[in-house]
Amino acid sequence: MEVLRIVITGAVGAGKTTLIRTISEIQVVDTDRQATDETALLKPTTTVAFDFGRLTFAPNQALHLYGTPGQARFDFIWDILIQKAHAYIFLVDAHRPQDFRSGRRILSFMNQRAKIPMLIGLTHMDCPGAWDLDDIALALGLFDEATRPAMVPINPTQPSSVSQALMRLVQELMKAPVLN
Amino acid sequence: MAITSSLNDLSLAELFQLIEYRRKSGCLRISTLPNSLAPEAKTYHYYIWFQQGRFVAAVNRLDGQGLVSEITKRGWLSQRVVERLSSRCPAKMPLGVYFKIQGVLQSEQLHLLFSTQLRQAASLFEVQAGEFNLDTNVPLPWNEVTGLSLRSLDVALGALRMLNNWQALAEALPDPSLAIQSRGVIQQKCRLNALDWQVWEFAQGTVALKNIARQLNQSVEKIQQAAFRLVLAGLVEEVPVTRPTADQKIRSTNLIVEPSTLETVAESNEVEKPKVSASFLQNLVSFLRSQA
Amino acid sequence: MINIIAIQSILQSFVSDISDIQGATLVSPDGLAIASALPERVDEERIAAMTAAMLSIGERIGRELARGQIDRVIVVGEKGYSVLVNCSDDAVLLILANANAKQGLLFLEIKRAVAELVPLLAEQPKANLLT
Repeated sequence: MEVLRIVITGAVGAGKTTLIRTISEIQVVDTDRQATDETALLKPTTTVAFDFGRLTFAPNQALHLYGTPGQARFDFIWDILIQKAHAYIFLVDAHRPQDFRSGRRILSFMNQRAKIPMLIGLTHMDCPGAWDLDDIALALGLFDEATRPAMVPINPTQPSSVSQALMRLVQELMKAPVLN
Repeated sequence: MAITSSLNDLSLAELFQLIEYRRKSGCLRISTLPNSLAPEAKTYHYYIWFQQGRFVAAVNRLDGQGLVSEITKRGWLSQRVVERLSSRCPAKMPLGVYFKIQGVLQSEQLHLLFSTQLRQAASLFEVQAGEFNLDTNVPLPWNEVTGLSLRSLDVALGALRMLNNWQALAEALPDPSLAIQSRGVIQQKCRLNALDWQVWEFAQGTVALKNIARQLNQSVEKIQQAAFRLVLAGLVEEVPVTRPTADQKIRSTNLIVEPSTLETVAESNEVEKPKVSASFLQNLVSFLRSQA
Repeated sequence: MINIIAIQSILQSFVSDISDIQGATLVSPDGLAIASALPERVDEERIAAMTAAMLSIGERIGRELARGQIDRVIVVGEKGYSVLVNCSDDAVLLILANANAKQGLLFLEIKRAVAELVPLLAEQPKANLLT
């Protein structure tokens, strides 16, 4: 069995679990628990270990998707998951500037732990109050337009949108020499 | 386009950084809100103007009379003269520049007016509860502009150097358990102080801020503040500690004695991963394309 | 309002009374510490998050493999035990014990502690766990 492991990360409420549910062929193995911290204001439950989804696209070839928790207190899980990942998608909600700071911290954590191909997925780009792409990049600490990762709008609830983003990520993977 | 949010989400310092790097022009409106310390406080509005990422003016009114009232308050010109002259100021010429050309104000006086505006902007960095709106679609109020300008980042760094109450920035400061890592850029004219440069010496990502504090014999808060200034200046980024040394037990996952296993994992950045073949990726792409 | 002080004192006396027990913490299922009696150098916040993650994975394994309701998750190392016990819908208890602990006795003591904790946890509505 050939497997590609992709991690979906991002701040609380960015849409990580949703994205995996949208694309997975199996019922997602989630570890949602009732939120009792400030997360509860945003959504009733929160991932405390990881989500797991699978997509088998050919005999003996599958994509495994792992979703991380968003809160920094679970950074040991971030570490466990990212170490084994081939690539990752970092999700950020474009119309929630209050999450950019924690997003930046997740991003710098991931970037330091694993130098692997990645993609930034921007959700809610079409909502009122959404920041524009370049402003978000800066808020995430990505100062250099030339070297920053690819950033694409994504709708985690829509299978076609998720497929497109994954396709873009695979392109990044094909660019990475170590994998071929 | 406009950006609106709360100062809790994005500090004024981070906003100034955004304005500088994105070379924004327009008006930043700050509205203070009552907070836990001052529940009865009134809402005040302040307006800070930028051009191409540079700070050009700060006023607390929108009637265009901020600069002239400063001039008359100082007794430099009479109300009558100011009114007569400003009505003749050509379009898109800063009023300060026009007054200087007319010979009624000296450059020292303009500098003084500009630093008054700067001080007003700097005082806003202590605002604990407030909202901001950055509107990049409004023309500059030439009446309020001295003609002098300063890099927004320098305004922010200058304000942070003088900041007494850091409460407003508590959430923005890097966690004491994090380290700083150089971004590999050298920016010359950064308005940083001596302590900032001492902290900068640790920008290898290997020492947690709380341990830098111990080594430099400073409070953890002072080090966090210095690190924040370095982050703001674009010199470093905050990162988790990489190669933990014996004196860093904070992230230790082992409860009782031994060194941590998690840190061992963290140290070895390259975990052996099964390679994925090119044909695998191609299959995946064609599958995804059929779904997209 | 949850009686943190009462819970704290149960945890403390539990840890000090029983020789092989090294620490105890009660955490919410989403990984926030409610009360702790942990060794000094332990990062409470971090352990709380780990406890929640571990139990949720344990429960998930239990469900996938049809093991029924999960009572506890045990991690046994050469230096001792970490035992995670479901106290109620709102709390998980983590107990640390050294390698000298006798498993049977250990579980018995834990059961006793849980029995003491459960009534205290039942008193308050869920939302108040935060305070």
